[in-house]
Amino acid sequence: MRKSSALLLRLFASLLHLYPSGFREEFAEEMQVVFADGISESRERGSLALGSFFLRELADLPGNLLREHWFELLGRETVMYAKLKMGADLAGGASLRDDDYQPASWLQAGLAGLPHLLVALILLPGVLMAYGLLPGFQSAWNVLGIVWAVCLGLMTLGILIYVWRKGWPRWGASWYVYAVMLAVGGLLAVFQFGESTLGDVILGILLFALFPIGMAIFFYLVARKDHIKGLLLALPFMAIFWFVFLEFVSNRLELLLTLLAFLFSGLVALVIVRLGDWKLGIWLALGLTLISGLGASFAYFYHVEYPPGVNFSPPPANLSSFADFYFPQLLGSTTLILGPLLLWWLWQLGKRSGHMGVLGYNLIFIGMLLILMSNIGNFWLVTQSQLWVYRRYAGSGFAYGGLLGILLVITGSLLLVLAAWYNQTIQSRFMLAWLVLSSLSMPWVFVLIYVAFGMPNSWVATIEPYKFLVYGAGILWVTLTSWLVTHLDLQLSWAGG
Amino acid sequence: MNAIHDPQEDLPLTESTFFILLSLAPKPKHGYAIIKEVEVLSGERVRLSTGTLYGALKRLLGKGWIKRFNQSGDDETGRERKSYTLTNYGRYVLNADIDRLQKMVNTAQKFSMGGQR
Repeated sequence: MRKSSALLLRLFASLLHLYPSGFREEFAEEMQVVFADGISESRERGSLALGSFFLRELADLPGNLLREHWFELLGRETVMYAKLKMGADLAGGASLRDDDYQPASWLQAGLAGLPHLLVALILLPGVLMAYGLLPGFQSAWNVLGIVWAVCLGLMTLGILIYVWRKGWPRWGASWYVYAVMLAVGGLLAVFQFGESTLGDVILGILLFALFPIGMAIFFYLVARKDHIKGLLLALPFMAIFWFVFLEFVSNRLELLLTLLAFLFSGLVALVIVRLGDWKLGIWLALGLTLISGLGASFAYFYHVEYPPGVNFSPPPANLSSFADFYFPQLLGSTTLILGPLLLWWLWQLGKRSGHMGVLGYNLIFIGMLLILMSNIGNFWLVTQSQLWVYRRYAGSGFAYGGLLGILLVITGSLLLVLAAWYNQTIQSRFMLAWLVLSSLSMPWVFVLIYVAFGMPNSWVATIEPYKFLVYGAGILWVTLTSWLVTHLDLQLSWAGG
Repeated sequence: MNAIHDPQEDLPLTESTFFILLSLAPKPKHGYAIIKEVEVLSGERVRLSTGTLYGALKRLLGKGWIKRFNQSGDDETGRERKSYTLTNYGRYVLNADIDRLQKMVNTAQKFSMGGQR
């Protein structure tokens, strides 16, 4: 073999290391043989043919790498796809994904819980100091705390590179949100925000429209392909979601509750990955936001400490105010867990229910995406004080975006119900009834989430007398939806096959 | 399997997928033979790189349209190579796409010759 050919072969073998590990293990050896065949044949036709062959391989490489990493990142698409396409018998109760969700090792489970536990660890000295258990540590902590946070940031980057090299293992999803936060935090630290220049407007559109849409689609795609990865993505939000409202709560209680929320998030992530059980994971994640929310709402009303000079009238500390704060936020946070999985379920239903079913699903998909985007956008708006200059119009935009989403969901749901009924795709009358109930209750469940962010006052006044009914419907909706998405295999017939 | 999936949902096939499946229709082939056959079948329009071929093969394996096996003495060196063959379902999908294309061509020919619908 000529020197140049040997060199090209070595170069190709090195480039194969850029592929995800799973792909590499399965195909690298074969690819090298095929490449060697190509080199050998091209060389016989001259240097030009050899160069042209190698350039073609090189030109295709970036696209191929991106595609393979994308498929790896999204989980076990091909396995699940194969089972669907080969006509797995859903009516018989055979689970689509049971084989794909295996228990992980303690190490992998620990790595899934680690980012949340590290955040809890960072908060621990602050809590101890706030309760007077670490006297004289404050000045040292001012330096150590920063060093610790920087270490966590670097560790997140290191882990991301590691999970990329390992082919995006499931536990890595726990770190994605921290990586995004790190990137966006860096962006926010660099830019100054205002309302005047074109640059500000472009940045505003990026942050309030494109970024939430991108996040929502990413959430959906990841959760649809791998439910556990989807849950791991949502978990940090279950902890953070509530504690952005605790700015005026006594410092030590705020720190303690935040620490506990991250601690529980870490434990929940660990348990989900260790057991490989996404169905249990849904209930654990819902329990996490339920309990975190109770603690945060209690502190919000009963342990407020305004600093001197703050002129603000707090809402009265009674059950009604408590409910107004707790339930809408609770329902909002659950959309991050249930939204993507519900869509997955509806897709299964839609594609078995003919063209009208697919149309219904598509309308629901766009509607849910708008709702999810509005929730993420609102979260973003509330958590980043630098962005409050945009609050007036961005808040209204999210409110009406959310409402449009609700209308699309209702229309799509009704179409889907009709298509499922006509095609006899759902065996269970109970499930058909749930779809109707869901269509009717969705607007009332989610409308309250947007009240604080730009809903007209007259609308709020209309809803006020019925709000406990609405909250009850919301909780019922969450419970039924959770049950539904965990019983996919029992509810659909294979009539469309 | 209690039900056969309707292949129409997978159609139309992409050009690369179509030619890869078509190249495997007469007999099993290893990777490089597939690349060469696809070039011939497509009149040298479709030239698959190694990475593109194996990305496509991975997904076709995942969908259950092809399967892989070890074939010894397949080439002049007599060494054992991984080869690929169509599954029954893969052949079913390929035939469905050929049928679809055939109907399109028939319609186009009728329309262009006589202007009839």
